Amino acid sequence: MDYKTLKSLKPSEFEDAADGYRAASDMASAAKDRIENQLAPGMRSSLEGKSLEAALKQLKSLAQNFHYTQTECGLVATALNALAHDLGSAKRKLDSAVSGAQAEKFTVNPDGSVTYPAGGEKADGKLPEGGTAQGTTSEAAADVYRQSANFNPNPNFGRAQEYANRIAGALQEATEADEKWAPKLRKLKADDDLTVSHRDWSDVQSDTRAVGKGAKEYLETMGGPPKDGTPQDNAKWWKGLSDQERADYAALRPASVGALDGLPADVRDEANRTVLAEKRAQFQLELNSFPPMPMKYQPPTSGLTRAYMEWTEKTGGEDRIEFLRNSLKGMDAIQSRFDRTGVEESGPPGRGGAAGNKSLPPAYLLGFDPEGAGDGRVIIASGNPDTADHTAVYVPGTKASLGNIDGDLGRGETLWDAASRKVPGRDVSTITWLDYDTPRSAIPIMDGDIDPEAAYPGRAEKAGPTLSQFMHGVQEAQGGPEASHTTLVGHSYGSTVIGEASKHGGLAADDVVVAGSPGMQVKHADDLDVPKGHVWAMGAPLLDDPVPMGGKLVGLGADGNVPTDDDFGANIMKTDSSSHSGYWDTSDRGPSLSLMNQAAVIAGQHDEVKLD
Amino acid sequence: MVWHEWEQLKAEAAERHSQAMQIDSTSKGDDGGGGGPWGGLRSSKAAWAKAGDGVEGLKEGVGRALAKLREGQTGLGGLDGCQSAAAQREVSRSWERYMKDVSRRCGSLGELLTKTGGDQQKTDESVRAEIEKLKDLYADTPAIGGQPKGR
Repeated sequence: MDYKTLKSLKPSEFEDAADGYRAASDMASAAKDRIENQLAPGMRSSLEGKSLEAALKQLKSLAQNFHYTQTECGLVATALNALAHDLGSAKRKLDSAVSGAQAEKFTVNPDGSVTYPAGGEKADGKLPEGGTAQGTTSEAAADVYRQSANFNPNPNFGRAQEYANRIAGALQEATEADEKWAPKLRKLKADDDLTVSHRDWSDVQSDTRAVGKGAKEYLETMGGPPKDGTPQDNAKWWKGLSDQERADYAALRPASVGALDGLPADVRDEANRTVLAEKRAQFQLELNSFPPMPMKYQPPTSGLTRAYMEWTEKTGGEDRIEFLRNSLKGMDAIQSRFDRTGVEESGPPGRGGAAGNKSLPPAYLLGFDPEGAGDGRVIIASGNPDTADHTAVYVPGTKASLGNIDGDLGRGETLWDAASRKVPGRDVSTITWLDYDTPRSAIPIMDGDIDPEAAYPGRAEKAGPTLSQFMHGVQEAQGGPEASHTTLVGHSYGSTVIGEASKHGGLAADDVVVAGSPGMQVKHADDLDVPKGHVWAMGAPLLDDPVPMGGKLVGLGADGNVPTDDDFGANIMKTDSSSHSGYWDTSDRGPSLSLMNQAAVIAGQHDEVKLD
Repeated sequence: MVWHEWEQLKAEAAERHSQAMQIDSTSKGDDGGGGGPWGGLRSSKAAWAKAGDGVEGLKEGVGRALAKLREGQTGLGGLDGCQSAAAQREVSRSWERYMKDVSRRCGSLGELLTKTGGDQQKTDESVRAEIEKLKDLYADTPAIGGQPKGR
């Protein structure tokens, strides 16, 4: 970049351009939300038939156009702000050198050289002559100039040379920034068609990496979230950023922002939806182009073939294929939840249109990672927790994973429906929380392990602090402990996780409900971090649900106490479940007693709980 | 893909249309408010129109965003010696085009939804013509944003 260009350049003009892209990104975000949370739900509730399905499909494609615009224009804005930052630094160096030179009555020439006047002591009646200094960015050359300046009779020479060098340095810095960003920017051009394909999302992902690399210095000015910070620390850092910085940071680090406890639900949701779209595309592309599996066994030895072993080494093999398939299944289940917004929770026929009928509120994706702690991270709220009067967090147990998250999402929705009916006019948010390495087996042999994984507290011990941190994050984003009445609901081994969370960091909850609990690693309800009398437990009879007895035998409850034991001290709720997995059932007649009891606690109507 | 979907939609609609005709023929004396090619019930006409208006309404926001995108460009005119400024102009042109396309898509989809319920006299053939137009507009191409050909 030449002197004239940098001199006339205003970095703020790149920021103005960035604002334009940001406006486009914000508009697209709002339009996508409007389609998903209002238009599509409105159509689902008032229309039916195959024409509706076809129309929704088109609407979904349109929503993808907006999502793509939101993400990609957000990246352009971030890239331009980072470019403005880099150029701004060069420009300030230039301006300071130029004004210094001018203050000494030197002239800065259009090529960046500096002309200085005659000066110094007269020799033979003549002033030492003036001249023009050409700047250098080479340290060695600059040293040579400095030394020769010591012998130059005109003291202006040395000073002019320093200015010229500083100008050359500024120009070089600007040129580097310019050359770095021009190709990165070109990659951010819009697709030439309106089909948002897997390859387009994959492109967005690589664009994010490219811009992120370029924007390293710019990002550093924001400091980044505090390392191992508490939700309060995270929230404080986030609030300390300007709107522009927040948007830029989220554009470049969606996975990080999406996982940051303490941040507002809508911020996490937007970030995680970007990650979801990108991962969905990435995994599908990987699966589509997976090299075919070679012959596995070598006849007649039945040993593995060399080709098979090489294939496994190179591609991750059959395990990888299974992981990709399960992840895609789970991601589709998450997408289906988004598509259920506005749909009435499935209930008895004939209930449709009746007073008190509830249609599902918008979903908030508060956490998403296909790998997570081993079984994937899926945290989805039905209803915005930040503004909810009543919040419930449901922690699933053994075997829960991204691949089969569908059922656990359904339980969260069922809880939302049952609790919302109890408190018309109040906002309820129910969250399905999967963010730990769940045991893959609970019942010996039947689940495939002679010694089932759920017999050990290790996974719960690891999960406890994560859950605790999440709960405090929800509380922080809500505005403190008094902002919402919060209930933790644990199923099976999920209740063990709640017990561990209570011991490691606390629960940030008002009530705890457990169903089919094998033990909570504490001896008594009073040892849990909720007010006395606010621990609730239900368990079907031994023959229907053997898990509490199993937990008792393997010692998941301290001193062999499990929550449904009388001397544990919980309120024992009536249940009509006939199995370990029936606590969220609904039937033609409506929600089950088990479900209504949980809903009563979530809704803060403790008197309505039917006790055993 | 889009073509396929709409083909299917059209076939389904035609099917339902013929069913509606049968109902009409067995219920003479009725006011004859049977379904159009989309099989929409009369009672849902307002719902289709509402959906259509909602989708068309998105154009407004796109228009405002386009204006802001252009407004942001005013300062970066004369920087001939700056490669990034030139690149940015290309980027901005591409997004202006994309957003205009999206706006048009809102328009055509919105119109289609409204007509689904509203214009029950519409023939199969005219619906097909509209579908053809959509297909031409939205088909995927090998190029992805910022790269002329796939990697």
